[in-house]
This record gives sequence, C-alpha cells and structure tokens, in this order.
Amino acid sequence: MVSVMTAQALTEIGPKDLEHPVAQSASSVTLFQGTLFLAALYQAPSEGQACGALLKYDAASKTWSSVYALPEMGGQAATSSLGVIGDALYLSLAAGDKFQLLCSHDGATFTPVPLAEDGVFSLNRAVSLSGKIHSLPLLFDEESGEWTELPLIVAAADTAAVWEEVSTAGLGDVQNDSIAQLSAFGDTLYVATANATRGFQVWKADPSTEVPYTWTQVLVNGTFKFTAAETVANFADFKGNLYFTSGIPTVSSTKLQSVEIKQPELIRLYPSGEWDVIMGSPRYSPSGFKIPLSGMGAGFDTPFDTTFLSLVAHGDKLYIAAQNGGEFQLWSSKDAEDWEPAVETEFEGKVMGMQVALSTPFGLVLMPAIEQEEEFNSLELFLCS
Amino acid sequence: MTELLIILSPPRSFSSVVSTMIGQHPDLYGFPELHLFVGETVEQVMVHHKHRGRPQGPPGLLRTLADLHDGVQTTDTVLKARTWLDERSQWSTKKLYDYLLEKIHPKIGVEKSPVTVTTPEFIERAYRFYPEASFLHLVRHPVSARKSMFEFVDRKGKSAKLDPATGNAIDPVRLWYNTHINIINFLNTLPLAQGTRIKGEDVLSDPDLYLPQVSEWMGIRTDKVATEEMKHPETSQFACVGPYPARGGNDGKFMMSPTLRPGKVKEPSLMDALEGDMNWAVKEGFAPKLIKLANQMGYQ
Repeated sequence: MVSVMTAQALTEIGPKDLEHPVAQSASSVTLFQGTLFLAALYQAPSEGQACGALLKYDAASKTWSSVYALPEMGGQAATSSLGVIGDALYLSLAAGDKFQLLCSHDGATFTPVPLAEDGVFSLNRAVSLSGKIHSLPLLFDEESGEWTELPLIVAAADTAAVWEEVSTAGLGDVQNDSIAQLSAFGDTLYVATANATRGFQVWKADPSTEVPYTWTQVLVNGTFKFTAAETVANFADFKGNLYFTSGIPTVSSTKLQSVEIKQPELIRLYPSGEWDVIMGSPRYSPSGFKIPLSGMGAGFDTPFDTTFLSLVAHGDKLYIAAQNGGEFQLWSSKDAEDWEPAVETEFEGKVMGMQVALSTPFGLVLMPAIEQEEEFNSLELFLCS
Repeated sequence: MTELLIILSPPRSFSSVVSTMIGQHPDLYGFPELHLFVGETVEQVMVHHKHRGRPQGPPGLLRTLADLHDGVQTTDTVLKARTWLDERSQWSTKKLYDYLLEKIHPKIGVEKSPVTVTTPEFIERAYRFYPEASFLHLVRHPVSARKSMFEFVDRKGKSAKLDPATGNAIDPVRLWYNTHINIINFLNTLPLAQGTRIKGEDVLSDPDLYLPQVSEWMGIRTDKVATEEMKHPETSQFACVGPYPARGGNDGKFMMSPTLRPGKVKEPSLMDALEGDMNWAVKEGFAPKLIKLANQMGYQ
C-alpha cells in the first residue's frame, strides 16, 4: 500500500490549509472523468467557520492541486458528499439546517443547483438508472441537529426536478428501520433495508416502469440469520452477480454510507434471485441448506473479532476491508470464494471504518477512518495498486 | 459423517417429536431421553434421578437397554436392564454411551435429553465425551414453549419452581431464556458447521423441505425414501408409553399421540404476550433481552 496523501502532503497545498486540521469524517472522494476529486473540509475554531477546498489528484505526477474553494458553511459542523450523476460532478454540503448542492461539468467551475421544495436528497446514495436519478430524501432533524435519510426511495429526471416517491416508506414494512443500500444491478434497482426485528430484506424494481414501482421482495429475514444480519453494509456488482456484506451495525457507525458490521457475512445474489452464503454460518432456509462456499464462517472465520469495513469490486478482484482486533486487513479474491490478504499494513491508531473504498483506473483508493484523540484527525488516503 | 447427533433443546420445544423424526432416518437410531450427561458415572446418573423421584433411573435409558439387549420392551426386559445397569454402576457414562453406540452401529445415534442444556456443565460434558459430534440447536417460540411448560406442570400435578429470593413461582420463560443462552454460548465455541440451529415450527410445518436439509448437514442420505421414513415418528419403538417401571423416556403427550399432524404450526405474538400475562417481564426489565433473543431466532 502506497500512501498518496497524508496530513503532511496536504499541508503542502497551501499555507492557509496548514492552519486548519481536516474533518476527515466530513470529507469525501469520488472519481470524475478519470480524475480523483477530494472535498476536504477544515475546521477553523478561532474563526468559527467551516470551510474547505476541492482538490484533484494527478496520478501521473502524484500531486494534488486545489481546484475550488468551498463556500463558507456557517459555524456549524459541516459534511460533504461528492458524486457523479450523468456527465456532471456534484458536491453537496450540509451544515446545520443549511444544504447546498453544487454542480460542475469540468471539475473546476461549480454552480449552485436550485433544489425543489423537499428536494434535498442523499447524493452519496444517488443511483442513475433508466434516465433517472434514484436516491433517498434527506430531512433535517431538529433534535439531533443532523440531516437524516428517510426510509423511502425517490426518483427524479434531474437534481433540480421534483422528486417522486417510487416506493412506500420502508417498502411497506413498518419494521424496516431504514434503507440500508441502493444499487444498480443490470437494468434493475436493488434496495436493501435494515430491520432490527427480523433481519435485513432485499427488494428489486424495474425503474423503466411507471411510478410508484412494483417492488419484488428478493430476500427476507437476513437470509435466515434474522437479527444477526440486521443490515446490509455494501453491495458490489462483481462478475455477473451481486455481492453484499451483512451483519450487525457497530456502535461506532455514525455515517450511513460507511456502515461497519459485526459478525459479518458475505452473500452472493444471482440475477435469478437465488443466493448462496459465501462466508458465514451454515443455515436452513426455504431455498435449501446453505453452506459457506468459501469454507469460512463470518468474518474470515473469526466472527466475533472481525468487523467488515467495506466491500468493493476493483479490476478482476473483489476486495473486503476489515479490522480484526484493531488490526486493519485488506483481503482480495478473484472468485469471491478463495480469499487472500491483499496488503499488510499498520496504521497509527485503530481503523474504525472505511470512509472511502473507490475503484479508479490507477488503483483502489481507500480512506480509512482512524481513531485519534483529536476530534479533527489527519486525512489519510491510500492507493492500493 | 458424524459419530453422534446431539440435539440441544430446552424442555417443551418439540424435542421429542423432532428428535424422533430425525432418528427415523434409515442411517440413524433415535434414542429416547438417556440423561447420561448429568454425571460422570452410572452411579451419579442413578443418584441424580433418585433425588428427583425416579429411583429406577432414566426410563429412556432402561427402555433403550431393553430394546438393544432383548429386542423388546417389557417389564421383564426393563427389570433385566435395571439389574444390568446396577452391575455396572462404576462404569463411566462415557463407557456406557460408547457401549450403546457400538450396539446400534453402523447407525448413528440421535441424542436428545433436555436436561443436558440446563447447565453449561452438562453441555460441556457432552462435548468432552463426543468432541466430533454434531450439535443441532432446536428452538421453539418462547410463548408457545412457555404455554407448553405450564400445561406440563398442570398435567403432572407438579408445582412450579420457586425463586428462592422472592418465594414466587419462576415463570418458565426464564428457563427458556437461560437454557438457550447456555446453548448459544456453547455453540459459539464450535468450529463452523459442527452446530446448526433449526426452528421446530419449520420442521413440523414443512418436513419435506427441512428434514433433507438436516440430512444434508449430517452427510447422510437425503432421498425421498429416507425423508418419508422420518415423517413417521410413530414407527419408533420409543414413540409410545413404555412398560412399567420405565413408562417415560419421551414427552408424555408425544407418546400418547406420536403421529405427525400435517399443517402449518402457528407462531404466537411475543408482543401480545408481553402486553398480557407476561407483562411482568416488562415491569421487571426482562422483556428487552427476551425480545432480543427471540428475534435472533426468528421469532416475533
């Protein structure tokens, strides 16, 4: 693993930046037109203003350059999301009850996107399918002072359009606590729900049909691990099948887009709707006895010591970022059944989560969330190539 | 293929009917309740039963010995078995169990003694004796298991266990909870695939779907002929009341009516029960952990 960016490297960007520690958990990364973009949010306690910069990475020269100064976001803690919809790069910024969406077609100039009433949506959940954007509506929760996702799926022709509800709340199940993940798989929209009473569910819908869509339940009861499989952490489209990790969300999970899970299992979902346990415990089910095809139980056979941080397809391999007793692990597999450690590395501090796991033309980019004493920790971004 | 299938289940959790069904597989031999893991020696097992009002020892064990020694269970063969057992009171229970397994060879034994799960000590003894055994965790909805326990107490004219601290009767759902925790704590220490969990309601509601899955897990025949035999627990030699002085060995209700009843087994609502006669669990703060455990098993 080669570090492409550290707190020290960030400091080389400019004197102003040197003075401001990075709010890593508020920062975001995406790939746009073959280039890696980073929205780095800073906190300047003395000035009381959240601010930041959009940076881009030149893979050839291995250098970063600042391309855009983020607008000031007031004195409250801010968060960012970067995402690509169609041929445009989007940046959303939330601070207090303020929400801004910015759009760029060249990665350099950004213009504010006017949002329709109740049109605040989760950019990092956005899935483009059938000429429409699908996402989850965001609602500002006065009590927690945070934007929270509503458990229903909405769609719009573009980001400024009026969003239409394409599902009922919780897919019609009051015990579905939230929409855990959205994913395009072929031409079909797949959705996983988190359910702390019966275990996660997976549903699918054809987004080319009239709204609200007709949803088909694909998986129930956490693939019969029930509440030991409360939620789905990641989907990954890999070699013609949809893979996902499921388990119990950790207490430390603070951001829905990077859910860390305990007793983590890996499931393979076929386009037919059939499924197999790849890593996890054997179980009885209405579709037959399931044994883990990798030969391993949950968490690479250490279910109570291992937390899965991320699942991502990159190149011809599927990767799982994990931590075992505080030690970071990155595993890879060409067939999702035969796994081997991809890298061996140690971080200064316990890896608590994986903020970003992104497949790029120049390697797998990872931004781990590392436990540090300071509220605003160093921003660490790694490239695995 | 396993050396022994040990079914871990609290009392009143379909263990008699499900264990007998599994034991009817052509490659298996379903024992009645042997109760051998309660002690290290035969003498200890006999003393354990004597203290519980069964001076003749475990009826299931006596019936098994009668069946294996004489091919028939009568008062005479049971008394012969009792004498045989007395002569071997210094045998370790492991030696006795090995003896039984040798007698049924090449069939594989199916062990089910609800008493085994009442303490971690008994479960650990079972594992120490048979570390290669397969362990099947059989579960039943807590509300229906509790109701069945109450019916059992009424039928037997027994009084419920009392809490030494308060003098109040202990609700049987606490036994349900504690025994399942014992089982889960043990199963969590096992290698992958050595232990699995199955809902009794699933087996009884859809035996054609779930019985072959149990066979598949055990690595034995999964064909329709084998499954059909498993669907007839009433053909077991232990699916009836035994001869005096070993009339038991299985659940009394099952022995009176051992034929599998077709149809879906309904699961009651835990939430309704907690608003009703289990409301004490809410008041005493027991409800959250009960709900959590029930949810883990797929019960609402």
